[in-house]
Amino acid sequence: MWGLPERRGLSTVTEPDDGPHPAVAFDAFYRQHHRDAVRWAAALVGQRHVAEELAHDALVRTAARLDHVDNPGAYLRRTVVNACRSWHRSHGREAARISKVARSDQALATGTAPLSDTSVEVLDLLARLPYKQRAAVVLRFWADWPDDHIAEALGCRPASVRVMVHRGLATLREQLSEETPR
Amino acid sequence: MNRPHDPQHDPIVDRLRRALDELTADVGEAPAAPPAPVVSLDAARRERRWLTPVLAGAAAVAVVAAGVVVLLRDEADAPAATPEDTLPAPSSLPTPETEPPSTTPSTDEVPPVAIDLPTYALGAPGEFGDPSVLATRPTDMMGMAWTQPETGNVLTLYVRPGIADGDGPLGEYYVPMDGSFPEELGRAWVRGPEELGVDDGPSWMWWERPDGDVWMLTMHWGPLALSVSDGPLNARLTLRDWALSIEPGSGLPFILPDDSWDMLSFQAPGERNALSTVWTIDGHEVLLFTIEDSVVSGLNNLTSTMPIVLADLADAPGWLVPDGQGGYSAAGWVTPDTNVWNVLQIPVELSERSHELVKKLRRVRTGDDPGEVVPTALPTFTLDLEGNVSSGYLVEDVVEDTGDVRAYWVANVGADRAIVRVVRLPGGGRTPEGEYAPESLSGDWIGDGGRAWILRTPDQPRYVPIELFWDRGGETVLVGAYGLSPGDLEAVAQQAVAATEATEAWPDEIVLPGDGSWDSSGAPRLLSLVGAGAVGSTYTTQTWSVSGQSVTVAVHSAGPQSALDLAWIGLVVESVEVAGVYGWRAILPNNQTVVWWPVGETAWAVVNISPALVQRADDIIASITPTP
Repeated sequence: MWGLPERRGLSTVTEPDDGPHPAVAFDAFYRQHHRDAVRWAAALVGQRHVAEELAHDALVRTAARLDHVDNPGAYLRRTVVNACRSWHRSHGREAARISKVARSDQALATGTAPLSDTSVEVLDLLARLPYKQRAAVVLRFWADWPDDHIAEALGCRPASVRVMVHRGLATLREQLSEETPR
Repeated sequence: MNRPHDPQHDPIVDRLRRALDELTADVGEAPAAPPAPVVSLDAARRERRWLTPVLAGAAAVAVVAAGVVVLLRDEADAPAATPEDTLPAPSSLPTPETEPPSTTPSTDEVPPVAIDLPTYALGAPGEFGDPSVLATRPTDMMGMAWTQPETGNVLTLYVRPGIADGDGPLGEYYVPMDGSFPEELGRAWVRGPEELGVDDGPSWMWWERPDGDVWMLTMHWGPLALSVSDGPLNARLTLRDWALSIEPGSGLPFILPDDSWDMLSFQAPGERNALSTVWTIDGHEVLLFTIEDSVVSGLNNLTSTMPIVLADLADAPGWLVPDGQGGYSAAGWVTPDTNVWNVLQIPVELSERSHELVKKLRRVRTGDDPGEVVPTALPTFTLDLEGNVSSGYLVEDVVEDTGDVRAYWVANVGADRAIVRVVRLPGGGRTPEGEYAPESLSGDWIGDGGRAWILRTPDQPRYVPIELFWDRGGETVLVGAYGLSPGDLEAVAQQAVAATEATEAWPDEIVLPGDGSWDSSGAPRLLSLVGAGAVGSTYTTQTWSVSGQSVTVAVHSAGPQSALDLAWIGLVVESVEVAGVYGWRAILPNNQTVVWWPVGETAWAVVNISPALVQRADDIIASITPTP
């Protein structure tokens, strides 16, 4: 149906424009973007150890195309978001249910401090949002991406981003407001 | 930045930010040694994945280890083991076929989605409602697992061929290089305490072998590991020694030739079929995850919290964790006579009923009541353009459409026809202000029962260029259209919403006043319902790149297609043969070609061909074939 491309994100397969771009050393690119990529992925999948891998893969994918993309940063953003979406598709249902467990295991495995109950609560609600809503909310309000960047990464138009943000935030507001503000 | 809404003082946004800041607080800078810049994508995709199964597998092996220990203790306390007290013996599993350890599936091949996995029912038919079933094909590595009964140790091995690059493992999980590792055997990085403690977690090893393969090993230390040991136990060296003792096998890829170890499981590399079955009980969801040929993946979702008990699960021996971490109760077992693993998760709200639910779980066999669980089995299609496909690959496989309630309409506008999409969202009181960029809003418009705003987006042929955001009090309606002016859109939107009010079961049973004829007045008027979106349908989506343009093939398990043959009358619709059956083709106002055809009795396939490929649409349609 004609509505499909919009929802299914056709632009995920749109090849980036070929053309020259300033030579960007892979090492520098990796170092420059590694932290952001991991943070974005962590926020999108809710699990740090998964984020590390997804971000790494995205960085390598992007690095392999440095000679072919005009805007490696944009390509990386889209690759991270798509990788997280793919992961979410494969694991999202399970992840939403085991998110608390996963984060506890992660904390145990890495020696990092466990998250506060308040954060766990918010992240669990976030994990239950449809992926695009979750991504739109996270990328706008936490990662501070402009809507056109979010739209590009999600393969939709900016207006759709705004709808997703609206719906996602409304869901969070509704569910969080049912509880005592912390 | 086009975010007029200032969320600075929004408490929800503040909480969200704090949580995400906390989640990502420890993300550091890039590793000191970035990976080599020239890495094949396949290799890169395979690489570094070991930590995920390693970490996730930690919980699983803990369960296995604990199970082994419980078994040992049971054996000590009981005079004789009963069948129910026996762990599934490795020999009870089918002998796996030995496969070369380099079978990462080609991304050029679209895997069939048809699922042939055992399914389970919960309770009597209808007792807990119909479950939702989601088919997936997660990918996992070749893996093996061994258990050491006398200690409870569990050793897992994953093998990735040909990716050794000398850089060792990357990531935040520090695994130090083993400086004393024999050079002739390659290079190794091993993590584990010099002196194992009672509460120490698993030890890890990354071994880059001379042949270019990488072995990733995890040793989960059993509760009896220390008591069996003669003295302090060096976890790092012990793991290394056991790793070095692994040899190539003749029936299995590898063996651990030591009598103290038993082979627990083998999993072939590559994708494997899986099903997620969810029952909603008193508002809480019980999840059953079923996956073929994957002991580690199958147990990944189990928690590691003690105590673990043996249980009879759906006529098979397995493990039960009554009070797992996070409050979940969990159970895991192997479907008899298969290599299929199952994990059941019960939320804390239903924990008091966990034993009851486990007892009510039973396998659905062929010939059972057809009203019970039915596995998802959607066919897929392939584009065979004989070299014309520049890069055809599967982008999305199976998803569950939790979708919006929506309807598609054909409307006439003067001498032309337009397509209108209507989406209804529950809840009112919403406004686009603060969520939409001001430049995309065209004032507001007071309609019947609420306020509405016209939203314009840049001209993007694939997308609906104009939308109407209509807050009607109890709901929000989004109306988008091709080929309509803002004024026409308002009129059509009013008609659309009015039409939807004609039925309580909107949109499935909507009755339209339109008769399909042209309106001589030229005023916009709805003509026909094209289709209505179903909620909860399952579909597969495959997207192909043809000369840099996209072709999407989607197959829906259910949905709006029953009405499709009644509509599209405002468009040029013609019959077309596709994939061996008759279907229909239409060209949208933006030159996008849409083809749809029935698949079986209930499913429908829809192809969207990019406008730039309109001249090649015939070839593309002719190239669509069912995936064997």
